[in-house]
Amino acid sequence: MEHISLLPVEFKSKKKRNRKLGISTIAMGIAAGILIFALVILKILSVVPESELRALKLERKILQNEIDDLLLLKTLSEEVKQQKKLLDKAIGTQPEWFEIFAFVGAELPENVNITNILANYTENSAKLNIQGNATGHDEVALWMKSLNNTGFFSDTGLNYSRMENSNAIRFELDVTIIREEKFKLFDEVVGK
Amino acid sequence: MIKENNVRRVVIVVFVLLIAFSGYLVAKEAFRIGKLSSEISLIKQDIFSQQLNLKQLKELKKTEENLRQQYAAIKTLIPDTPLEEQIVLRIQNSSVTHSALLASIRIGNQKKDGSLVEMPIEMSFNGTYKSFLSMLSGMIYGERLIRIDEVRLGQSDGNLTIDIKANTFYQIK
Repeated sequence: MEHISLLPVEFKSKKKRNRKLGISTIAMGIAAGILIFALVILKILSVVPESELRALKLERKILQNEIDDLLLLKTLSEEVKQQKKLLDKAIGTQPEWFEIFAFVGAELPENVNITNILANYTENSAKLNIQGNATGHDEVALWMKSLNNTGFFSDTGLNYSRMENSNAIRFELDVTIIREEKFKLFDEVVGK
Repeated sequence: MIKENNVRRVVIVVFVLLIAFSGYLVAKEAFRIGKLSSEISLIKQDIFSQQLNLKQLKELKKTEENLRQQYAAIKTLIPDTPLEEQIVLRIQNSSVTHSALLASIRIGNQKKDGSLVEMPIEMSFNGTYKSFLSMLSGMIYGERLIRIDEVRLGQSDGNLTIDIKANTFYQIK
């Protein structure tokens, strides 16, 4: 059995429009509701990173305060480094003069006598010029050999060794001072 | 019937506005959360580098006393002013202490090299080899930096003559 509507066409289409309008209203309401719900969820979710951020900012501030308190030390350390460079520049590569002269004085053979020593140092070289007397040429030669073996000196050269009288000869040596290690004044003075 | 339709239309407009506004708020909130996350990452990196920095500073703190001593020692070795009178007095006292006679002392023209100023000194003493060694040690390892450039030892009337050319320093800012 078929239903036959006898309502006018305008009335039917109006009713259809109203029905669509109603569905649209409900759909929009649902969409708005979903969006509001999503907004609430996002707001709740943002609480965690917000509080984490606050805590991290506080931690950063505390660390920065600690760093600021110690920053003067960094300046001091930099200043000490600069001063050490200045000190190294001033000291240069001078030899360990005390050890050298102490060694020359202590290790002098019995029959060799020094009359003059000239020690000089420039940035590129450190040398000793030694003049003295000895009982024989062999004494001088042996002393030259022992000087070369000490580790303090190299290139020990004889300028002359000549007879002064029947008992003595006069000699002159040029000696290069070895400077393998840098002079450690600062360690000596500060004890560190 | 017309009135009812108008109400519906108003409701739809309100919903459209509500959807648009809440959509905007959702997008804004999502963007804000993203921004928070990246800010957190940046701050974490900051904190990491601060912790490293602090660790180094704390290590430095352990050596603070030593650093201060070193600074004071260097400032005595190379002071900020020439203090020529101090040099003369020290050398004179050293010669007396080590039984040598200070015959002469001369401080030459200063030479500037950056912030370092060199002051040449020429000294002559009479004494013994032992007194020379003691004085030399006092000069080299003394409180004021003295760099020995030349030493001339000779004999005169049975005495040892000692001529020393050296440099002492002060610094200028």
